[in-house]
Amino acid sequence: MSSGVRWGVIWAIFAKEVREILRDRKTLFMLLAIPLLFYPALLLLVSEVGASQVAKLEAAEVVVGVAGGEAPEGLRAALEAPGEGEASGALRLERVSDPREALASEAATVVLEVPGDASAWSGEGTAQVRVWVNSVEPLSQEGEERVRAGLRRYEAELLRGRLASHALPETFHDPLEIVGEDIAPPERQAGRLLALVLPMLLLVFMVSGAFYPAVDLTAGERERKTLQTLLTAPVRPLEVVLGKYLTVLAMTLSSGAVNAVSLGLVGGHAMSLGGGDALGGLGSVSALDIAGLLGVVVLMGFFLAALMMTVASLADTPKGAQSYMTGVYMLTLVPAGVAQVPGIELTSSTAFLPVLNLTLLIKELLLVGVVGEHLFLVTVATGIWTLLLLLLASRIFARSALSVTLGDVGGLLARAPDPRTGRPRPVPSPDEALAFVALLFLGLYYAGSLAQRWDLLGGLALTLGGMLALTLGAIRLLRLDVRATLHLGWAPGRVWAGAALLGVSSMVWVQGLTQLFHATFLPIPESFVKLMESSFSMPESVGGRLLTVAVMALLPAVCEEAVFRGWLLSSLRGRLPGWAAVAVSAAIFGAFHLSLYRFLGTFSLGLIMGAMVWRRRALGPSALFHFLNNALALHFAEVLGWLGAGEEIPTWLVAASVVLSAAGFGLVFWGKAEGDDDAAA
Amino acid sequence: MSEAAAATAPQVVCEGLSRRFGGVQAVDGVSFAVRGGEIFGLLGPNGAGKTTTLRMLVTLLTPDAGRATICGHDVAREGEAVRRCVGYQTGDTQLYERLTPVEFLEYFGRLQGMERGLVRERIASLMEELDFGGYRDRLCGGLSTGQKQRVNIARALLHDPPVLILDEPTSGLDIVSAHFVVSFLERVRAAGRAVIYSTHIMSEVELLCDRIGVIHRGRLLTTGTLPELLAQTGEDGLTRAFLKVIGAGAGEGAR
Ligand SMILES: Nc1ncnc2c1ncn2[C@@H]1O[C@H](COP(=O)(O)OP(=O)(O)OP(=O)(O)O)[C@@H](O)[C@H]1O
Ligand SMILES: [Mg+2]
Repeated sequence: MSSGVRWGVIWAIFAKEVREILRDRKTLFMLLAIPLLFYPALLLLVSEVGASQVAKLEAAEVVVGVAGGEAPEGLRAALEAPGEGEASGALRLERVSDPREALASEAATVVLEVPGDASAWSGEGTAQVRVWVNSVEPLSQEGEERVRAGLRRYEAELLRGRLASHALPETFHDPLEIVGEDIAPPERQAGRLLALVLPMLLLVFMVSGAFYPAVDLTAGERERKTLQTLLTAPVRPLEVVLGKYLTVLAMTLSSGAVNAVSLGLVGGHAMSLGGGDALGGLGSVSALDIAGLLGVVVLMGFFLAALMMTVASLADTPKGAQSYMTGVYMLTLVPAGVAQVPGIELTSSTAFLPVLNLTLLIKELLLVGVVGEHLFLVTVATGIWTLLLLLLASRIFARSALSVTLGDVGGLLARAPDPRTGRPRPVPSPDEALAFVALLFLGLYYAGSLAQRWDLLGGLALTLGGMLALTLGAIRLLRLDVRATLHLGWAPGRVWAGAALLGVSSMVWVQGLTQLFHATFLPIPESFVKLMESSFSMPESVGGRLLTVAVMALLPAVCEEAVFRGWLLSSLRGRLPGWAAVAVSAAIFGAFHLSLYRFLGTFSLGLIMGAMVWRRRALGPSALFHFLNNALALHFAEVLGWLGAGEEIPTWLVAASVVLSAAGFGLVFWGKAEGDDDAAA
Repeated sequence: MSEAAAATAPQVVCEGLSRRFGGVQAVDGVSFAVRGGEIFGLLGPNGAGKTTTLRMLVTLLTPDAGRATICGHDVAREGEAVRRCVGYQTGDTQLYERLTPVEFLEYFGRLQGMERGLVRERIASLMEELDFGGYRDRLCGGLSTGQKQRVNIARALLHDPPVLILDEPTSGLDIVSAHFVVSFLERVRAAGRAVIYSTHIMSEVELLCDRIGVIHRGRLLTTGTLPELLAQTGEDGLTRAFLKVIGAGAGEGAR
């Protein structure tokens, strides 16, 4: 398994693949010709042929056979007079005896059978007329339309006569006028139509452009045996995967873009010709919506490119890859279709299902607009799935230069020595660590939320305990060093004291800053504040309070520290500069809280704890910090309400917290960093 | 083999290397060592396990048992370091069809982490030695087998590796091109590289190889210089000696 990637190598691979694609007529043709030639051609064909057919029909002469009795003079006149705004060709009346026979022999285009008894028309009864058509004949249908229009005109005339004879106003038979008003803004009405077709179209566009490169860059290269040559160069599998992934991604996005733009132009042109105004409202879609839509489309590209490349790399030959990918392609269309079912919406349980979440997000964007929390969740989910797919692909490439067997693919977690030193490693490699955290995310998301629905505290305890147990299991499975992986070093007393000072003070100013940010840029919805306040509430009984503190402060302090500041952070040591490692682990820690409105606060705390552990190589002080911080947050929630909310924090409190934190930082970070000697050695 | 070469430590060492595919024991306890300045011929009939052995050496396959080192690096555990030390080339590899030979070589130079200037220098000197300047800017897809092979050999030597591993490099080549490759390898040997050369063409082995290992059904039956092999079997030609060794091996190997 590879570890650490060199961007220069990734770039070299990407540049080479793109150069080859640009020289490949077949791929370029697929990418450009269909959108640039096919759509306009199709439109031209449809509109030309369609328009001329319609025009021909409208100009054609219609022979109306009259069967049964005589048609009254008024009816004849009404039939022969063209109505307002109806451009129609000539209409000729002709006597026929058998309607069926007349239509079959084409002696008449349409037959009107009127009552044999002329008295049926007079008086105030109902006269029955029958319209005979041959509905498979377009001309017969056209004739029917004209006859019915004439009949309606005649009926109105008869009605007017009857009303006049009784001295009744014309409104007599029209007591109600129904007028519809839609308050949905025009762009949302247009959005509904678009929401129906856009996700599916985008999916098809993106897949079609990336299909061939995904196959050619993986299974194709394996079949031509150039993959062997590539993998006997000193490159790491993850570098190969990323270089190729970027290529497929570029193709996915450009195919999506070229298709969308071309279809948009062609469609816009068609509408301006046809005067269709169904999508006219789109002109008023907000810039935020458009940016959101673009963002979702890019996310979709990230996921689809990773999915296709990984699936294609499972095959030994391009043929095999094509059949795998066709299957997967079909499978991705299912969720895209399901998303169209009314009532299926983005919720916390659909937000993590790949493809479905993205299509639902597009639908929501077009119907409601950008919902920050959902955009955040789907981004996190897509990131996790993409990451897992790419790590899987790198595992496939690492083991299978020649051909793929199921055993080669194996699990994402398997024992492997450090490829550079060959020694067994004390800590996980970054890709192992990331894959594990990603899987943890998904597992906890579903199992954890299920358990928490059953019982909030019990479920939370189970979730956190599960995290710790799985981490310890992974350490055992990979035969890693527990002490090194979990940063189980000891720290001097002053560091503990500093961590304690920070633990009781940082939350206040961190939340103060967070509040300020949200008030200025990203207001927190009322409903979210309510939710937070209810989940941070403390029971009355002493036992209940102790239990709450144990589950919401003590357990996270141990279990989350083990995963994020232990497992994850130790894997990044030596691979990233300190600040980057701390930032990455804090960002993942923040994302782990699965809410846009909690990200900034948890990210900031993650930075403090990460920096502490990075420097001191000891998990204890950061666990103490975490515990004190959470316990205090529970307390504040009780007195002040949840601190993320608009509640004013007293100035003296902020000042005190800043002073205490500064002292705490000094105690923790002052002096030489831990373990620099053996890091240099 | 020159005396200087004999004095150096072996560049390639295999000890009991084994690999099984399902029910087939493709390579079974193969051990040998190759020094710098020496060409070791791996001679065996179809399906003997030559390719599998070489693939384990270049880290494309992991051994089930045994170990091997290249320039002191373990092939199973230090893949990346091993790949820096070897040039690997097989007779059936294709080039990237839509790159020119120069682009192809530049690409591998970057993957090897070489300086741009050094890559240019190496390409220029290899182009001269291997004589592919005439089609340096044509797309590789349009080159003939022999032309491709020259470019591919240049690719294997681009990063100046101390060890060169060649799997039937002359397959598909006409006698002129094959002879060119063989005489080129003599110069490679003179540069002090360790070369492993697998083939089933006796004449190339006779002409080129300092020592010969005969492999059959995954087992390395014997190793030695040509005269040693002839003496051992009491034959006067390599072909007869080879058949004799294999025949004996087949009898003995009837497990
Ligand atoms: N990937 C594989 N899967 C299954 N069996 C394999 C695989 N590679 C090689 N073998 C088997 O291992 C044995 C040795 O094959 P190998 O390719 O090493 O022989 P070789 O000496 O190179 O033959 P040739 O002269 O035909 O190239 C053969 O029986 C072959 O069928
Ligand atoms: Mg072979």
